[in-house]
Amino acid sequence: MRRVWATVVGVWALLAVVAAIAWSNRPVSPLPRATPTVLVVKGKNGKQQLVVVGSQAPAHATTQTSPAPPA
Amino acid sequence: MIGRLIQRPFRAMGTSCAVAVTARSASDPGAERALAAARDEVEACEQALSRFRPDSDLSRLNEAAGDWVRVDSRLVDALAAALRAREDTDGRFDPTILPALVAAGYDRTFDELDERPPRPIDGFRAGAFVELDGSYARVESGAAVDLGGIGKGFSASRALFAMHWAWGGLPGALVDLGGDVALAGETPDGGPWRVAIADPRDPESALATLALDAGGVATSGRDRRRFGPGRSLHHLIDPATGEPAVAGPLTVTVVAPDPADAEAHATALAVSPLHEVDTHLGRFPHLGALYVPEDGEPVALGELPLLAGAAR
Repeated sequence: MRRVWATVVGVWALLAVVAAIAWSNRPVSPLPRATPTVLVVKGKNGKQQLVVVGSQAPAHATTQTSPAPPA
Repeated sequence: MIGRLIQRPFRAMGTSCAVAVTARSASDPGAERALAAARDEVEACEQALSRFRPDSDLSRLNEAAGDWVRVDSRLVDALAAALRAREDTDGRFDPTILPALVAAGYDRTFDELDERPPRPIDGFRAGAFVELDGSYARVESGAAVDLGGIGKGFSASRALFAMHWAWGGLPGALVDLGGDVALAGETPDGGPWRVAIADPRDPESALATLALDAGGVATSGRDRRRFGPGRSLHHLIDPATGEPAVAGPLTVTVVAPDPADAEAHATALAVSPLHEVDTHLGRFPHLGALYVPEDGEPVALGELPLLAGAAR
């Protein structure tokens, strides 16, 4: 009986460690993906052109006006 | 493939932050040292630069305006960077606008702001003297400094260096302080760092993605951090008038080799009309900007490293 309890406690301890690792490595926040957007690109000679940009590659970070922290 | 990106979110400087390193494994002890060093450095910077902490070096300096005050080297360095930026932007960025910012209503942390109407400010004059001598600083009597327009970029840069000092073998790292980003080195997949520019009109999506090997990215704007009656005011003070700026975009994103420069120039360009932004970037060819007007299409100017292959 003691061995059964030791096994149960061992499994719970392992799950707790896995959960702690998963929690500490969770993504910072959902990063927005670039959806196709029209930008006006202004060249050095002052010439402007409309360019559609967009990328499916996930971003490492997002720049934005500083948000207040979530409550 | 070098490994994986280990990220740590945290709160500092009144906003959401994160640090990340490229590491060969999740249990790399060097990575943990680097991440801890970055957070310690951000905390040390906040203690030196925050105007919201009564015991910070900046608060002591402002309190003793007119006298020389011995302060942390981080504050001396940040003030030096701010004074350089004031000169480079012809005063469109000015660290001495604090009296005007307080009069407008931004007199406490953003979480604590109420809806009091702005107070009139008499005799506001931008461009107050700030003097530095070794580890001492002095602000002109009657003036006060706010480093809100450069402090996060400066701190992100310092945190990046702290990570490198803590882990000599650091392959690559990124610091994000509420959207002011500093990065250097290698990414886990070996490509450039990708930084999305949030669309101020739809924050769930990105306007574009930047591809960078090193440097800083910062965004400034009037889309968030609004306050006052009906949230009608914003925190971008025009140094020319001492009041919340009328001219300028909804947001502007600046890319620069130095993250502190990126934030200071973004602050300056956020109170500037498009034609002035264009002229400014002509003087500083190492900068790139994405200008998002209140109405109309976003405009990319200067050396803006849009993700290769994205434009078509």
